[in-house]
Amino acid sequence: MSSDVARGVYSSSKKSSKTDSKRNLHNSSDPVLSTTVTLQAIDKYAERNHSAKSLEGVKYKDRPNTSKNNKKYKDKKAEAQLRRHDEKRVAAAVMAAEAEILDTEVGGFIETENEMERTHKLKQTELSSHVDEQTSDQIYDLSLTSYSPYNVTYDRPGRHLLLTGRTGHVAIMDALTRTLQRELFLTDNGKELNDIRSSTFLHNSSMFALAEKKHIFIYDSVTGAEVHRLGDHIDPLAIDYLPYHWLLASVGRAGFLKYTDTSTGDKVSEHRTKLGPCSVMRHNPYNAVMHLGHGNGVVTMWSPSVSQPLVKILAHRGPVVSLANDLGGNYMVTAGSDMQVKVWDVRTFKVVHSYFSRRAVCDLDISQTGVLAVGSGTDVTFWKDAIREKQKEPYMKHRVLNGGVQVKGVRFRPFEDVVGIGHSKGFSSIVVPGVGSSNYDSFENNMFADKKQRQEQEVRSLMDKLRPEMIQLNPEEIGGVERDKKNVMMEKRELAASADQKPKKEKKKARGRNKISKKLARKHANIMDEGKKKLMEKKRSEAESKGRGDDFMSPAEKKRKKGLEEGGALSRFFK
Amino acid sequence: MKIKALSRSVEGNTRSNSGDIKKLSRNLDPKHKPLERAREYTRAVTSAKLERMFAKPFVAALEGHVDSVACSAASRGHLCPFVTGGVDGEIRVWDLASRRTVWNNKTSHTGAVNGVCISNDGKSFFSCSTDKTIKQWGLGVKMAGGRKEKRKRKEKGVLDSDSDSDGDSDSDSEVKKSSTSSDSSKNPAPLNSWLFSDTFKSMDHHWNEEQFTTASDEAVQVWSHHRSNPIQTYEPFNGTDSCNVVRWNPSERSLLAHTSSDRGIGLHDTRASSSLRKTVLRMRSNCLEWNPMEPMNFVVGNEDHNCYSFDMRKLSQPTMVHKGHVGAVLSIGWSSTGREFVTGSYDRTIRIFNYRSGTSRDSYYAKRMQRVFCVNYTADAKFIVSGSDDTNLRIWKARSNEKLGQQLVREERATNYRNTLVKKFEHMPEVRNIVKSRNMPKFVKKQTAMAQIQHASAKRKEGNIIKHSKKGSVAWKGERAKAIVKEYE
Repeated sequence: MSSDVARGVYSSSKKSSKTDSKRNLHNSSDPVLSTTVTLQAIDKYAERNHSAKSLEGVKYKDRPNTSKNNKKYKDKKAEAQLRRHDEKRVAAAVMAAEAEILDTEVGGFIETENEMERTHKLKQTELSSHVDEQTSDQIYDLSLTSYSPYNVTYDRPGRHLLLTGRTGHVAIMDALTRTLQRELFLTDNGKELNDIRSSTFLHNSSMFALAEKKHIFIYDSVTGAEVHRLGDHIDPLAIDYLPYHWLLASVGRAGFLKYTDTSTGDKVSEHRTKLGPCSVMRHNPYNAVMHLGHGNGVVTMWSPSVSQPLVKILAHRGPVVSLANDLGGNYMVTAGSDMQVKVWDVRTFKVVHSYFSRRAVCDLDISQTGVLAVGSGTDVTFWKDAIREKQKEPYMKHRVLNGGVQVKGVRFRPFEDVVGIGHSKGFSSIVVPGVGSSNYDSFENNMFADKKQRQEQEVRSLMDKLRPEMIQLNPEEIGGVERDKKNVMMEKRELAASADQKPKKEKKKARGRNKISKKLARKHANIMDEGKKKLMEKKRSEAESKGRGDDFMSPAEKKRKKGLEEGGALSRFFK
Repeated sequence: MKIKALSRSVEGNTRSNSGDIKKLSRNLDPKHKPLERAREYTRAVTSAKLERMFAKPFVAALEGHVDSVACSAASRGHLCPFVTGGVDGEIRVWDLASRRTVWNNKTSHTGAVNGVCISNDGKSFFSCSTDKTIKQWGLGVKMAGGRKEKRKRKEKGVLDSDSDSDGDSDSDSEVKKSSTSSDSSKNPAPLNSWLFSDTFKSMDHHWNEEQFTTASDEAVQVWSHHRSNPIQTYEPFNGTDSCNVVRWNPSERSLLAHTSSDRGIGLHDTRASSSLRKTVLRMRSNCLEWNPMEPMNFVVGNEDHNCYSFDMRKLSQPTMVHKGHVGAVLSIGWSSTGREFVTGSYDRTIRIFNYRSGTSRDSYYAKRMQRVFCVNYTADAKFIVSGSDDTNLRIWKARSNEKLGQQLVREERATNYRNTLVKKFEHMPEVRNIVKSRNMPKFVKKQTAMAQIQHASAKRKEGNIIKHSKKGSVAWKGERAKAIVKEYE
């Protein structure tokens, strides 16, 4: 997968005669081309929250009227600093794009030679004759029937494979060499069948966690020993691990989402979803927000520091069966028992498009290159570019063991064109070209790490451990300045101004009669409401009946009465 | 159908034997590096903490003087020599690398040594004193600068005082004679001495020529090495008070700046007979130093606890007010990079300022350090030397957390990365609080708090005056404009 950016760099250097591609990029004879190349590089490599600004940064040089004539900032020094920062950022993005030339590995692909050929008709048997021996070795089936169905989990570099049979068989395999590393039978010496619902590796492949019948248990991959029992996580149905935060999350039958810090062992937070039992949970790798699929068709997104869901989407009619997030974090795919597979844009929380599945979908996964795998019934189908636009036919199709099995779980092996399928008769590994990212980063996911490197990686990752509060929908906001909206700011300012002033002292009108009730009564003396009117009326009528009607007359009425009684010269005015 | 699938072998991605370097693969795609900003922020916090953890600025205290160290001078062209003058009239030459005195004269002057400066050729240095004399001394001393340095000095004709094993015999016998003995019983004689009618406050050597200048009670004098009388004398421009400090401009050959007791800062052109211009501040300036890299700018340390940066072309207003000290600023030393300067103060602390920032980057103090009379950067801008009232000379690291000695390339890269991260997130309260936190002595803390209250009060008062005056009759006065009382052209 050589990217457009790298190609852009190539083409620009070809156009001009100079050899130094970097110089060409900046002083290219074709300014439009160089700008587009830069824009592409920024699009891919520059920090996301600055993307809007960064475009301005690029145009900065091209448009002399923007910053030089129209003064944007009051502070000249700050402006210069910002400009310098922006230039550096753009330069870094361009350099990163240029460094793509150094990526020697090219991703896998299938190319049809004529229109009649269909990639999804390609069978694994045919495919194995087309690829090298090492790749064809990755096509194999493991027949494991007594503890089935099986769940599949790969560790982050894609080196190790964790197979968990529902009733208590666990196997850790080296996926590259296809050797069994450790096998466990968690069945209490065969007396009792276990119920393993979900599994995940922790920060590296040396430890893994299983969601068993009562609690979560953590095991050592090498010795197979039970290391911890997480008693807080009761009856878990799904677990997931956030490697950068060292957080193990689980959700269970009671519908509580719980986070435990695996470096300290402390429970970080516990959220009540109020949506009943939940068994569908995957995190978004871009922002580490946990996505939960519920029985009423709702998908909720959670952060450990917020007790309410960050987002709630009604995704399906009927329960959500599975969901998957793409690596870039922009898209989510959900499958419901309403036979729909929907692609969501997580930025807008809207459906991009949806697919109808004839058979009930049991599991979904999205590969590093954005290929969608849909496991349903006996088949697994692979959809290329299915997220970006609606596809009519799948890219690849695989019928596990020629039918007769129920697919349980599908997972792409990272950085390889390999897919692991767990099903009711064991485990199958197949090759799907073009699903793995072609280049790995040794400092991030090193599948060939030796002991020393692994140890160092562990320490580094502990030092860089992120705090749970950092999990939010937009992770690029960290370290930025949050500005209130204008009206909020005004309100705050007014509040601050009023706080500075001395509070007004109420005047003491009646000395010694300072009871609160009296005060209130004084205050409300002039207020006439319905009750008071009625009371007055009643009192008046009572008084009149007793012949003391004068007491309740208003001054005007009294005057009038007096005038009438006196019968003076002005009495004619009082009629 | 064309098919290609990814296939990675263990052999292709790992080293073949343990002697090889480990094979690494990079993928800069941000998709594979999620939560980058949060991770960077976390690293920035850690880096800031590390920075404070390793902040051990104090290197050494050099004993020797028996009275306060009044003045000091580092050579402009050579790394090693460092000269200090004491209040008791003693002069010492130090080898900072080996932390010892290589030359001293207890009776150099009968009064306090108020100024020392090293000549451009590095062969001699001058001292001036309240005893109304200027003396020139030979500076042929052996430093622990290693063979290379020695050879260089030899090529330049500087003598080693100790008789070397390779038996070098050089021409300048007078210098040799004057500088051979380092024991105090036989005090070395000066090469030259000038007697004057007035006490001296400060002196500075010309950057290129064989001239030096002195500030005395009455005037500023310019001297030649070869004349017995001053070649120029300048009366104060406007006023009759005495001059405190005088400094040559590093690039303009005939430009002098001085401060005087009438709170003034003045400029002189030695080609003309009278001074160029003068500006008067609210309080007296105790020290003045030109920026060595931007020679139109200079900084003065003031009695009002602040330092003021000036552009010599515009003395009507300082370009920056540097605040932080709670005592009068007594001396300033520029880093050779021209980006930072260090100040020594009466409040017993040293502060390091960025030349464009109003607050100090760092502040140093020692339990037994008294009022700091002289501060200097070493020529490599890595160390600061301070001389104080407690008779000690102290060496400090310019960057308190910097590791001394040579760093490995990877180490250096990691340090740079950490520093950049801290800089990137310095505006965040968490990082800022760590970076800016300093344990200061109780006295300084209290004074700082008091100064803040006073400042707020003054500001409030100013606001009230404006509020209750006729509209437009009284205006806010900027902090920089406040410093200047009057300017004479």
